Amino acid sequence: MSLDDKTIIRLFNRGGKHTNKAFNEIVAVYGPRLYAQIRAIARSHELTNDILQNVLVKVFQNLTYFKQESTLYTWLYRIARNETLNFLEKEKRRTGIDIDPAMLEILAGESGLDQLDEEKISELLFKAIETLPEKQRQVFELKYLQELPYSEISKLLNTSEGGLKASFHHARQKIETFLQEQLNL
Amino acid sequence: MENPNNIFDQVNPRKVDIPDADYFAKMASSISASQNAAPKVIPLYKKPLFWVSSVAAAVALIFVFNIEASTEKAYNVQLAMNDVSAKEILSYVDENINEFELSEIAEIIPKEKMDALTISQPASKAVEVELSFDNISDDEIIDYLLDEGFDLEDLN
Repeated sequence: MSLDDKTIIRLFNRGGKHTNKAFNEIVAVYGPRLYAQIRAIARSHELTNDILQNVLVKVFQNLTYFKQESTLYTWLYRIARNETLNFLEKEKRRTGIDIDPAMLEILAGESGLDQLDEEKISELLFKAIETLPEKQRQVFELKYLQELPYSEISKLLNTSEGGLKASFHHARQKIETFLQEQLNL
Repeated sequence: MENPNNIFDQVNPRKVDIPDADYFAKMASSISASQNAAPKVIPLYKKPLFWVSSVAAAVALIFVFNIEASTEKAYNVQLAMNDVSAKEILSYVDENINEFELSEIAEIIPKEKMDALTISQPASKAVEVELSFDNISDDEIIDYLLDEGFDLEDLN
């Protein structure tokens, strides 16, 4: 059974072997979620690996200053999001290659979208997600892109399942409207 | 009726293969090792606070010993020390002095002065000891268990 956030942070701040143990616990519990979050935007495992390393180094260096005003996951999510966007922006400038991701795949036989490619729709979805408030964005990413059950998201964000369903519903509606406008559907 | 143009009915999120637990364990170990090897960065804004509190503590000690030296009477020291409870002294040391060795403190204070430094608790401030777990917080229990070397995960 894993430790709760408060105990992990307490352990981390004790220093020495306790710090390492707490950090290992953070990576074991939240690493896969952060990986999936980054990988949804980054093009490859190699890029995701580099970004995740940077994220975790920042976590190690700054966890002492975490004020626990949000859940630990929300704090990690923000670091991962900022690091991913900054990293990809730098990479884009350096290589000149458009690194917008293909987060979606078009289902076979969908003639309504045959004039578009997956990358174009994914790019629009990425832009649509960017317009959402943070909570809705988190819920949408965890529910739709990472396909986590509400029970798990509820633990990560410390929010009731009812509240999560409402957030997801609003997020999905906003994205749908955005995409329909952009795609003239 | 469902919206025939609903984009979510026509696309699926791309599946992401998440590496196994070993990948994350190795990454955690390598970052811990590199961070522990790196010199600790202490924010500059914290340094003045440390020095100011250290100087304040030193000035307070000099002041207390000057009173004793000028009057040549040990009871003045007793009086000054008795104004401050042992609990307050301990909490001050706990909050403001990060690193100290009892042996170093003992070296600074001569034996004869140590004899004069008798700290007595006023009767009105007698500490009431209650043997009840209600008075012990979860944090104190966790601290105790960690100090004793217990693994919190085993106890969960």
